[in-house]
Amino acid sequence: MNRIHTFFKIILIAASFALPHAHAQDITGDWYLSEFEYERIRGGSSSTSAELNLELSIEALGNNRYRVEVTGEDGPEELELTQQGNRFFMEDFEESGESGNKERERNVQEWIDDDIMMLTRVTIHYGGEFDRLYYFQAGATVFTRNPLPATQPNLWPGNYTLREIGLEAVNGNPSISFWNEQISLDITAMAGNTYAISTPDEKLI
Amino acid sequence: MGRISHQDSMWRVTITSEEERIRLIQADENRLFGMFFYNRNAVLEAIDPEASGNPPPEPMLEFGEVGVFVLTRTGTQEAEVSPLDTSETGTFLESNAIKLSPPSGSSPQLDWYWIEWFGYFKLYGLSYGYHSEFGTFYFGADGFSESSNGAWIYFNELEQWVLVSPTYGFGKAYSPAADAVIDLEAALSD
Repeated sequence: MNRIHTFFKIILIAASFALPHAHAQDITGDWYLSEFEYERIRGGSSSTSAELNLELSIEALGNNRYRVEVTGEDGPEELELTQQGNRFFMEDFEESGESGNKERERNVQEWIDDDIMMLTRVTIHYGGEFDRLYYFQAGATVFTRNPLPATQPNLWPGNYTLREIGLEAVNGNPSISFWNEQISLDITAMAGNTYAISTPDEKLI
Repeated sequence: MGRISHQDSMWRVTITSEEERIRLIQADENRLFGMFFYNRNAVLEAIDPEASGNPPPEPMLEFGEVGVFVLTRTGTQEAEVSPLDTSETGTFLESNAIKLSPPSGSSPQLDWYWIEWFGYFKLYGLSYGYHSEFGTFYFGADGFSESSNGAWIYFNELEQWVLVSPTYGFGKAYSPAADAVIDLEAALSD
């Protein structure tokens, strides 16, 4: 998977949330990205994961167009974006003519506050008689206005509220579904540079 | 109960017996971010491979998921949900959830529905007697109004208000324009 190609797909989706909106966040300016990427190919022998840390700037050009420039990469990229009501996602679908193989991509992005947003995306390839899933490529990204601080896990113990967005792909039914949930959990320190995480298993009623 | 340990310059979290790949990073003193992946492979059984000459079973991807989460320390400002665009018609959820009750006078074993707003609307059903979730449905909407007998939701793409209620079944809604119960999931996926 071409890393830069993938990266600009991320930017494409992230920038799509900067369109005029009563409560729109302003996506323009400088951002730091921290991404975790995962790839799995049919046969299970080619899974990879990679961490990626980048800096970029986004400039609004008007008429839903944005210029994105990544530090240390080739020249800026200009993108044209659209928004679909309150739905903050993009979904692409392609089907090759000869082999019948299909490709589907979906992205979901969510703002935390003016300075932080998070994004998750999935690309799947599938095909054949039963639409078998044979390729899964995914990324999870955090965008921040300031560099992330050094990790100090000794400060982590405590009670937290978890807020999560995610995507899933199921073999034989290659839709990509989205979920979002909030739960409470605890992090406690254990011996040997290890921490325990616990969550109450409660229903809402 | 899960366990976080430091391996290969990455903080990994192991949940029960299934291992996920999780990268946990520190945003500030009150917030941690996590990025996670989980894959499960399936093995498809070839039909009598020796007789048929079919190739041996081949592992296939069965399920994959990816997500991002933020942990906000309790007692600090919690992560805010994305605000709805109130320029559209209708009123909106003041809190993140409402409960849609079954018709009055019906059995308490009937199902309850909840609608939550987390950037999307999420409709899910709970079997009252068992506290089990029986269905989940995500959708975007352009207007919302709580009602004594359900929730009115406006969809630009349908150009109408519809009423969601346990009365009509999960994933279905009453359309005054059609004077009929419509399959909301099917209508929105067209």
